[in-house]
Amino acid sequence: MRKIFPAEELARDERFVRVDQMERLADPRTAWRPDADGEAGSAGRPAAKKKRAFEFSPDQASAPDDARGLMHGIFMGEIQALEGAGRTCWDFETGKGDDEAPFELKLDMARQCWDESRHCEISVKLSEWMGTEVGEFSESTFLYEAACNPDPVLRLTGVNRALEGLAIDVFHTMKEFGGQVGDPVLEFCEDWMLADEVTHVKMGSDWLRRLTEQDPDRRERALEFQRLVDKIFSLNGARGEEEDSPIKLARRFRELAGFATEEIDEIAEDAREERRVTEARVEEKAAALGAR
Amino acid sequence: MAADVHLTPERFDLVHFDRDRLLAVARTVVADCGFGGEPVHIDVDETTPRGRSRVEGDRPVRLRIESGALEDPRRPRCLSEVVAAEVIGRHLLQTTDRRDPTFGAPADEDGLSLALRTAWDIYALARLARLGYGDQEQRWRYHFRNRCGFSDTADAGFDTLWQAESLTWPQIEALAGAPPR
Repeated sequence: MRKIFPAEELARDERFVRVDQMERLADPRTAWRPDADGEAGSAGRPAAKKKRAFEFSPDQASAPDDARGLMHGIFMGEIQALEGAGRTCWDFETGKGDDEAPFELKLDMARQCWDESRHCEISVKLSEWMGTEVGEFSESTFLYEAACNPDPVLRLTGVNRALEGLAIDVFHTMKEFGGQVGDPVLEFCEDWMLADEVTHVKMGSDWLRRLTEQDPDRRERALEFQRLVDKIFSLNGARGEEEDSPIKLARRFRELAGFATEEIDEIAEDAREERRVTEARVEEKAAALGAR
Repeated sequence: MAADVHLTPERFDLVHFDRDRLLAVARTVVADCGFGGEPVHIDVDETTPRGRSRVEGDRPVRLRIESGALEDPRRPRCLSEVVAAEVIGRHLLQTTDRRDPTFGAPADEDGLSLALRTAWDIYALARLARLGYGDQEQRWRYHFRNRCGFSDTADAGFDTLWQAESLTWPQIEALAGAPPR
């Protein structure tokens, strides 16, 4: 059995279609216009003012399908998280060296495999509940790619702290959405999985601290990688602490998972910066389209 | 009777839609929905990824569709013929409803609540499914539940909308939980 399994060779059947994130980012269209009308079907709604790539709210006509798409994305993430945690159990020799993983860390990763496989099962059943077919939406392999880092500490910061931290925010938002629309199944399932994600992020926080206690340089590299992953996958600034952020930063749950206040503040500030960058990009696109 | 479909733009630059295939799908749906004897204009806004669509004219029928509404959810900026047929067919059947004097008088699209719009969409999509276009009953049930409640009453309302061959607007309003006038 080989070590360090590349993302291109992940086992998938014909239902799954993979899309590169760069292809999405290269989309020349924009949802925002300075003179656009508001959402059809809601008389009196003001004109679209938000230069966002993504909106998620029950009062959007597309909300049920947005929730379905988001859930399918979560499902893809759960599969990749399972694959990533499983790889970390195997890819490193057991030991305390920099290129090794302690037995206790492998035990935590095995525990995470158990959780993620349960999340896959929950996600499939939720998809049935929401009328979504497996493979109805595309897959991006960014979570698994973060789990391919040759340094086990960077894997944990990239996956367990950055991406599963994002999962905390998304699950919390989905749970709130389920509550707002009165969907008891969605609300309960998200709450259940959210509890597990807090544990996964905490594992990442704990192992980061333990494995870099005597190695501040390695800790710095790990936190830099975490920040990079956080920025890349901030959903173009859609994840934030503003009132109108489609995905809310779940500060309290992150604290429970071992994030310091300063770390969360930094994530929030990076999100605001990403939002500014995205809005500028959207304005450029709108100007380019207006000139056609 | 051959369908008379006019599709704009003449060329897609920002999305990878095969214009000929979209035209072919539109012609088939137009004929199957009973509009074979009159012109139907379809204007696709390829500048936005959003998925809104609306009827902007009745005689002739004019549809304005944002490109996201025709897009394959698995392949960015690519056409989904199944999705396109659903969007076009839904609007055509609702136009048929509006033209039927026994149906009733729904408000303009902008004046409909999300619950009413969803209920009417489902009534149209079910008829379209029986014509052979798409069949995502559970997906539409989830839409209906989001707007009208996760309850046995709402589920019974959905079942009626999904199975009915002929409903009036007041009946749709009642099924969507709208208060009687």
